[in-house]
Amino acid sequence: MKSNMLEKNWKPCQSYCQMSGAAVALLSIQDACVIFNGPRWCAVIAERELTICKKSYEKRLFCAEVQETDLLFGADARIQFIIEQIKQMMQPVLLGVLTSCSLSLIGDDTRGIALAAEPLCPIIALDAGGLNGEFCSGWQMAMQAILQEVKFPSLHQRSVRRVNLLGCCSGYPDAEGDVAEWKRLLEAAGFEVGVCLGEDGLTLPAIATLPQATLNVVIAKELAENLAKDLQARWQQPYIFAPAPYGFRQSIEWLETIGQALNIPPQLTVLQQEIDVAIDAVCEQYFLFQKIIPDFFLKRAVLALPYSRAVPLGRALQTEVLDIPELVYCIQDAAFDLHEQNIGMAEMPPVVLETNSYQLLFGSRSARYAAENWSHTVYINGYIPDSRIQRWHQTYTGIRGWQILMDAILQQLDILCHNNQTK
Amino acid sequence: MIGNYKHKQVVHCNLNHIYMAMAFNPGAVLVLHAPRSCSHIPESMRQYFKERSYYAQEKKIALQPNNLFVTGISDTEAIFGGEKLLEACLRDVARNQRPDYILAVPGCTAGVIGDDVTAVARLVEKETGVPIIPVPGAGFMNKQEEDGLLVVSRLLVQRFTRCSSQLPRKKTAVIFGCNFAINSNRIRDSYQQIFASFGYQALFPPTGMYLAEFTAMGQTGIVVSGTMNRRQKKAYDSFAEAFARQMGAPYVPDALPDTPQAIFDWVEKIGTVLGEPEIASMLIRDYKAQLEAAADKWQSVLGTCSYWLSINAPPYVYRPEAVLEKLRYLPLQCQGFILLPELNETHFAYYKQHLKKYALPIYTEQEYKQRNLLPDLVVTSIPKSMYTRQLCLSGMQPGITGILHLWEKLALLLRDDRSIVYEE
Repeated sequence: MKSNMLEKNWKPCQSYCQMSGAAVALLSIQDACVIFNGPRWCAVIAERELTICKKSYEKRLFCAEVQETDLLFGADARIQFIIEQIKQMMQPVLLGVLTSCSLSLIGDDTRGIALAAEPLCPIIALDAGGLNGEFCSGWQMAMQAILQEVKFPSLHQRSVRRVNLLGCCSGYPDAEGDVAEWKRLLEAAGFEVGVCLGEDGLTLPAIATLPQATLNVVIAKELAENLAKDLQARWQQPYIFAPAPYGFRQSIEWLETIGQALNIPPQLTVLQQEIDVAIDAVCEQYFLFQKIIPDFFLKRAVLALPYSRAVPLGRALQTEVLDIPELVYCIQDAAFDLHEQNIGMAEMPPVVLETNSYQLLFGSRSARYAAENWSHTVYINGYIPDSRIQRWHQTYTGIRGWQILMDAILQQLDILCHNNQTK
Repeated sequence: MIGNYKHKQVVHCNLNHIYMAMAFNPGAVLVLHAPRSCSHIPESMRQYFKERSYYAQEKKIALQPNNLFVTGISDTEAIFGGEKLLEACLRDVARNQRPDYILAVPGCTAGVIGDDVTAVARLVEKETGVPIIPVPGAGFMNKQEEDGLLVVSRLLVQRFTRCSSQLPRKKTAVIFGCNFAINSNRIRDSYQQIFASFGYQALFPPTGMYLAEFTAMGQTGIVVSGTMNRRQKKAYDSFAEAFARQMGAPYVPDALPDTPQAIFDWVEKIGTVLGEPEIASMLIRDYKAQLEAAADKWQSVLGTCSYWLSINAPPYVYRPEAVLEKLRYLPLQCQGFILLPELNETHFAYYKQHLKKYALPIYTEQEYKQRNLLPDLVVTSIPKSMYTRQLCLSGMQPGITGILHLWEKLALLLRDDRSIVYEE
């Protein structure tokens, strides 16, 4: 083993377990329940993480409370017991049974066991214990399984303007605000929004309208590329990868890309007017800020985000308003080979930041600690929510999101510069 | 739902506590033999420590960088075994990091597939010369619940401490069960102050210690079993007593208490054991004076105030009688108890029975709400929006500084007419 393999191979996971990803996908369905088929402690940890993602998911999570003896005799009695309890407490529309890594090794027929308990709703049984993936792969696997359970109509009318958005993960920060902005942009451009797969509170009948769209837009490659391929194979429904747009220019390009795929030009007049007003305000504000702080310099931006967020955001940071010279990509939970994407999965290189020189950091709390330099770092939580408090209408994507992001950056910079000056 | 679900036998993942045990130890490295996802459990603990260190300015020994690695068992290893992977990881870490020692911790999956972690550790240790200590970490594969910090203490002592009753005693006090990772600075400071009065230096194994300190522990002057968690007390007592016997050092089986009289008795006992009763008497006199001065100081603010005690913490980490005693000293009167729904059925039944002796009303949260009571204040172990004025406790408050701090927070709540004050 070569020395440079050290960090690459053995560094700890910054993301969540596959089981949490699968649970988020399942719980995004209204009135679905999830049983963790594993030891209690694993379930408690996953519950804690999911509670930060979405507090309301807590009530629909259960645990089979597997013990050591169950490794020898099977966990069937425990799974059936908890299903009985769920039946007494609520009427789920869908029940997911997620088997942890150690339990998956004993090879119980979890689906068969769960069905024997007559759960009165469809069952999805998955090995989701993180042996071959992290959060994103768990999410995608569970979403594929959900689609298997949906009763799609045999005949469906396609609407030429209608698109589905695939990969809207309700466990990401600002998930509601993001989806709302994407829908707003698409509708303003004259398109019809179908299913936003992964949006919180979707129902199974709503998902059954998936085939009515002419195009699937993959918002997050790491979450939904395989889903899109499945749908293409199933209904010859084409898909494009058009990641979440950041910045004014990218928002327009995003709509143009979708329009091109649909062969319908987007209606951009109103949105362009909105941008014209917004861009002036943002530029003026940033200009004023730079003018006040002598030798102010944004040295670099660190993007510790999933691929589909990091790349468009990085591009926007370099080309729209801020003009940041250096980007550092620390791609999280890639779920596919990054070498093909011509992008590194870099460790965060150390940086020296002079008095009025600052860095932007997008990612999770974990990345924040890795980056250090707190007094010279603007931190934006963009992956794995830090706070249990929901920011219902917030987004950093799209036209409105870019204004919110610029404002957030300038506000933080204002405080940092003030503190550093008065030190 | 899982958290509140009727508690059955709790199954513990040891990874967090094992990481806590060594995270502040210079030269220590943890290699986790588990799927990569499992490593996010200690990794998130690392973030917490880093945050705490950042704000609390932990000056003695900082959180150590690059001390957590994971083999990343995949489905391939689940079929063919993961020993080769563990071997490669241990070798790589040993050669590149050159740590003082490595803790090799198998998770549940490694336990189920039966990887021989001990054999691999021995092999790589022989090859690299870096001590590698296997630590059982496989949550539900453990037949009995055992605190990860205690397990690491035991293994490090076995491996590194030179045990001999023939060696000269040093003026160090070893406190097992109270440590850098779990307990607040105030508790550790209290121990340090008390032992410093006797001319002793307090050590809190296994956390925040250099390898040389483990070696030198063999000459310790006094051993204290200092856990405040009653569920773990028996295990800590047994380990600490055996350690003291082996070292030929005096042994005190009680942690620093959290009520005035018990603190005086404890200090007196330490003085007797160390052969310094006069220093102990002086300390006790000083403590009494501090308590009286504080009680006088806050008297005008507290007046004839009374309170309700609201409980959500399990009885092995919370003692309502201690809170009552500390507040009676002021003197404040308790009017009744509220048992919150976070308690499981067993703990609820325990408190219901246990608190009968006070002949005060005992209500559930719902019963309390129905009565529309408006007490002067509620002393609670968790904040609740239904209380109009509450002091939120964060645990026990051992030592005189703990009691004084509690009183001060209470006085602040009343003096400034605030709706909530957190003890920590």
